[in-house]
Amino acid sequence: MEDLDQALSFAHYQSTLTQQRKLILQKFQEATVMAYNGGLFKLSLEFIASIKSAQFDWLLDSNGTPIKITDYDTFIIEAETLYQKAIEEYGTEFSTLRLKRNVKSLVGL
Amino acid sequence: MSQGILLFAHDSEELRYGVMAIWMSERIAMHLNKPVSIVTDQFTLDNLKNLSVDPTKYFDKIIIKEFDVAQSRRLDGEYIPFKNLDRSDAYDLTPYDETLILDTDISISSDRLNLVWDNAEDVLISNDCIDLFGRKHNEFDFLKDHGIKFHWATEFYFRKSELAEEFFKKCKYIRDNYFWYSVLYGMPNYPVRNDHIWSIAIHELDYPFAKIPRNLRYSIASDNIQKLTEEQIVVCGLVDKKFRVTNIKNQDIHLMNKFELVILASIESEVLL
Repeated sequence: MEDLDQALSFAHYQSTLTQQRKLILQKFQEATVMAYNGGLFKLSLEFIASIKSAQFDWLLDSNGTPIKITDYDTFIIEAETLYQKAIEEYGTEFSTLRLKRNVKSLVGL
Repeated sequence: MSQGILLFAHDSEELRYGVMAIWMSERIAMHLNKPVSIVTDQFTLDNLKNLSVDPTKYFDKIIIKEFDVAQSRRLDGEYIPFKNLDRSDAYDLTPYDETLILDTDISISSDRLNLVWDNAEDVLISNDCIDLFGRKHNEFDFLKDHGIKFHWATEFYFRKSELAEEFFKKCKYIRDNYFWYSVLYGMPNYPVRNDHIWSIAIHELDYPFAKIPRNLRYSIASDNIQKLTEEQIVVCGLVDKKFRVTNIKNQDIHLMNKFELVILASIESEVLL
């Protein structure tokens, strides 16, 4: 615990905040990958808008693998649900982080 | 199609990989809910039994692989023996049709790795990584300056298939001729590193391998793990000679400080060392 106390007293607020922000952004980025029919799709607002407007039989997933979309309705619903859940969680964590005014609270101690 | 996770754990006198595997199996049961098999040796099993741990409660299958040769590497200023040369035999050893190989020093705190199952690709590799404090480590980008790209053996998915069989055949060949490959690729010939075997195999097969869709977060061996619970990990580290502290919640992380991890994992798993 001596190391932790030392780290807490020397850790810079701004750099700790930056690091925590990066971590929750990475978490959001990971949470917005969707598995569908053997493919892995990176979700974004642009991607969701595009699958709603143009529906091809095949789509390339984030690895460049062509994946057959068998049911667009289910695909869109799953994508929207996953994206909404991830962005809500990110938004909540981001707002909470901004209210924390010292290193100790930033790292949840 | 059977699906499961394969761990490799061989104790040394200094480090109890078996204890880390017990902790991993509990975390996997909690977050991924997949069967876990372990490749280990009698020494490790005996060590677990001496700690009053029954390995059969934690593992779907226990696969015994004895070693004649141990390597050594420098950890925390000391040379520590370790046995890691059986990773390339995973294709022959796994009891599953679809296998996710994981190191025993990954703290699983999310279900994100479940995305790999039933993939259209037969192999998924891992090469994107981020240091927990944003530090730059060139050794995790390339095997050497101007060398080939680095890939992790830490997490790796494969389905029994021709491609996976070819990949592991290549890995075994590289392992068995490591000295020659070290000359060819300009890397140290000792100790034999699975990450380097994987990197060379991926490079030489020149196949457009698909990736596990995430950045592997890691903290280096000199970082201090201050807190390890199911919900939260607090790590202290030096960045530009200044202390930094960070907190990770519900995210997986590769923790390289094995000495501290064994102690904290044993506390979490209620194993008395």
